[in-house]
Amino acid sequence: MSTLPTFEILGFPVSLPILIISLLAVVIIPIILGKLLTSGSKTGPSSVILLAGPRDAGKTSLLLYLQEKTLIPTQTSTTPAIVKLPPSALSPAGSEDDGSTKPFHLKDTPGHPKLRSTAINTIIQPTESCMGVVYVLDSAVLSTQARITDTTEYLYELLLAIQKRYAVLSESNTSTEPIPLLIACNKNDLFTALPSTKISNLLQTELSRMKETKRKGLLGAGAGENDDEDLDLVLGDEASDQITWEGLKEFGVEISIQSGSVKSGNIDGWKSWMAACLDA
Amino acid sequence: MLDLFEVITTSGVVLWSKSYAPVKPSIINSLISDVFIEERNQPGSDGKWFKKDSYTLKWTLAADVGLVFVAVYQSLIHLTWIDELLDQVKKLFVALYGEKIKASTGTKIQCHFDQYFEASLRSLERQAGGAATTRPTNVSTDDPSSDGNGGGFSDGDEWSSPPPMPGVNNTGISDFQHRTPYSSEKPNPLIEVTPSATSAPVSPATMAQALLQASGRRPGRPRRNRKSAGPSSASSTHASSGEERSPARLSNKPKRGKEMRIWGEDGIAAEANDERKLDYSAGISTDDEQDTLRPKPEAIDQDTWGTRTNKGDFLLKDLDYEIDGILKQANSAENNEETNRKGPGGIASGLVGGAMGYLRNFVGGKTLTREDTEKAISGVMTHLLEKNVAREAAVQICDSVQTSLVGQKTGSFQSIESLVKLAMEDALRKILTPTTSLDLLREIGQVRETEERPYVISVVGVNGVGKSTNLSKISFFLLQNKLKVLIAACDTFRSGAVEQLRVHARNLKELSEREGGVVELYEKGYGKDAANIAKDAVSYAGTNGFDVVLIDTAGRRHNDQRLMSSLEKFAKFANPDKILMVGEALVGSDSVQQARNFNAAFGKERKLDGFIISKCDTVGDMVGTLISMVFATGIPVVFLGVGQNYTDLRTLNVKWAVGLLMS
Repeated sequence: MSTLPTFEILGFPVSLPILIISLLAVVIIPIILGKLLTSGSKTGPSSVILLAGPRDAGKTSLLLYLQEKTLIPTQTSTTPAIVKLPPSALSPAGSEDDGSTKPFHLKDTPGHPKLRSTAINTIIQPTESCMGVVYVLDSAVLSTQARITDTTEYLYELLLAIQKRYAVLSESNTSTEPIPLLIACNKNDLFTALPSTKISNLLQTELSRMKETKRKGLLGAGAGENDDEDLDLVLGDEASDQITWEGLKEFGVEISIQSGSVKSGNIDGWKSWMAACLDA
Repeated sequence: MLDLFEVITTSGVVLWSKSYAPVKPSIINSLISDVFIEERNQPGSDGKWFKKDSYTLKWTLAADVGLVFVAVYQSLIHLTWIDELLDQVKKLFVALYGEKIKASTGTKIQCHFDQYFEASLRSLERQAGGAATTRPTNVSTDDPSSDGNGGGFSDGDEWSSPPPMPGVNNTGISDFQHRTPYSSEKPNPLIEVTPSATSAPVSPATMAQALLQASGRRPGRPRRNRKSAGPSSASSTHASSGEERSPARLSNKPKRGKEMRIWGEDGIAAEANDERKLDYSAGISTDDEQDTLRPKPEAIDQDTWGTRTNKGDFLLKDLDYEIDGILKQANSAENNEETNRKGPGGIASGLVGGAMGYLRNFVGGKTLTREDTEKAISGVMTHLLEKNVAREAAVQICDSVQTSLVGQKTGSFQSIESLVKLAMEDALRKILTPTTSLDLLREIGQVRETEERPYVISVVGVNGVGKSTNLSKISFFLLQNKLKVLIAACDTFRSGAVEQLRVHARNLKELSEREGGVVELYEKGYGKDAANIAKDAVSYAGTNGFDVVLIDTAGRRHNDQRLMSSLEKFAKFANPDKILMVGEALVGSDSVQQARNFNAAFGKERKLDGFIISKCDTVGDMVGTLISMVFATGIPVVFLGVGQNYTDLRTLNVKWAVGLLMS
């Protein structure tokens, strides 16, 4: 009677199936254990709306207002926070319906210049499903040049990241939806706040100027060494330094701008923008 | 006095706060930005405190749940128990709400922490004894064992805690106070007007009298006490709630007396009864005719006094016990962890745990402790040192990375080494990322547009690091952008320095003539005061329509006080928009001290604005000087010198630098 081939391991006869089973067990059990031990925290959330903007603009306040419907004091954030919200959080104040769409996630990111890479990386990583970006800014401090520069610089980086993502995705995929961006001019209840149209013009001219000086400026260290293509990518059209919201559309950057205020609860415009963003 | 205590999540949500005086939120924001994000400790603080305006801030972190506990108090006052309070509150808060916080992913949770906080604050203040915050009361010094009044005195001890802290027990005071009869009205304001009562002398006699008189009306207090001390109302100030209640209560007393009389409706011959009732009520509500009636209520009182006070105290005792229990648990849990770590093997359960822990090393999901990361961290540290990072900087960076890793979980199949490496990359990126815009051209444009004055840049540095060379590189860059540049030769010390700049200026003129740049040298020979020449050069540039003034200075050893002191005057006279320090990439451990000394040399108001790291082409991938200098001062790197030509000037690319450092 022909038997299955057996091996001798450490003096014990072992048949092939047993050997295979035990080998499989050796391979699989750690994987299962690993899955169990890390308890599946790796699954990235779907349909994320990103909150970005300079610090002290009111990102965390907006998040908490949508979550808790009240004002909650906040301090400077140092880590991002992702919160799952029911779609009713976006329905305008008063009405309590619309249970049709699925819940979404809001990702709050720190606005400190050293921690802005969190928001940028969320956009650039094609694996993260970013449905829209809300760029929260403080419309009451845009009278000083330093704050304008800070606000614009971050916006420039975000727009560049959105453009880059669109460029990368549209190369491989034909039907790529661009990430829309809402410039939410917060704190319009304050006396010194600028109207949204004025902020819109201000940001466009500042972005244009920034693009110009970036083109004229020095190269970064290490440029051209290992052809990192993201170094020579410019925002918008390469031929002209002028940046307008319309001009950016063909590069996959769609921008809308709306005033509001978390403090006075005047955020219905932003809510409906987010809702439209999720429906798309 | 403690002004503010806040519990904040790292995502920026204020979970709980208690303020005793208005404190601007920007105070804590600057703590977070400066210390937590930019990791710049104030000189001498050793990372233990932070001063801003007139406040001192102390904090403690609970990294595993992502919480920051901050206490803010006036710098003038020395509070010895703040550290203890922070530690205690941290343990309590984490024990009470830790699970909730973990589940909430860093957003708002409901917490009713006021009572716990008050209780721990009070007990610490009591322990501190003669600390500045406890008022010099003599009530508490009496020994409570002398007689029945002792109970009253020990209660008085409780009440003597600083009034601005509205707490469990203080609600008791107001309750009690409104039960005291009219005749004792006099001492009452002292008890009621809480904030001002701190310094008001309360004689033990009046206090005791008040207590005695009050004792007759004590029944029912514990229950009410408990109610009013409930979580919902604990934060409301007791003084106001007391005021609301007081008129009703006071008017109640005569009413009750009248009702009694009406009560006897059935009898005509109810007169005798009536009188008795009248007497009875009078005995309680007023103390005027107490001579005959006094002994009776007092006798009852003395029996019930103790228990009542005990009951009255029970609420507080409960809380204190609870707090003690939580703290003990937290402490014992800590100890257990330590012992577990010391002896993982031995017992059967220990073996299983050990095996699981061993497995976790490979498959991930291991919660890191300081010991776990020790090996990986020391590996990364050696790596940094090999990259020419100054030892001081390397040690501190590794330390903060290690602290940030404690309590984190490794991902699936992620080794500790790779986790440490990722964290280190993050830390380096954070250090090198500038906090302000470094776009020189835009700034020059803005200054020219709005202020119509030349933009002034000056370079400083140790001898021979390449100040003049980098200055001419910058001027070449500016000339290419069609700006009018004036070079001021303020090195009036080293022979040949002016001639060297003259050659540069001639070369630059030839190179840029075609492109329309204008460059000129402003020189006044040797031996003169550099600060004055710089000032003259700036005004000359202003009248002649130059866009930028570049000021070259003499090289100076950073630890020579005599040479460094002239920099302060220089900064004041020339008032440069940007003071850039040139440091060579070759320098090792000295880089930290160089950066610090130059940063401190310009006086209190002026700091360096940026670094130029020269000779980067000579060190290959050992660009550790970048990290050392930026880490020591928090000042960004503006330019890198990468070669001998005028065109070999670069801006810093953080990704590139981190890549080199981690390779």
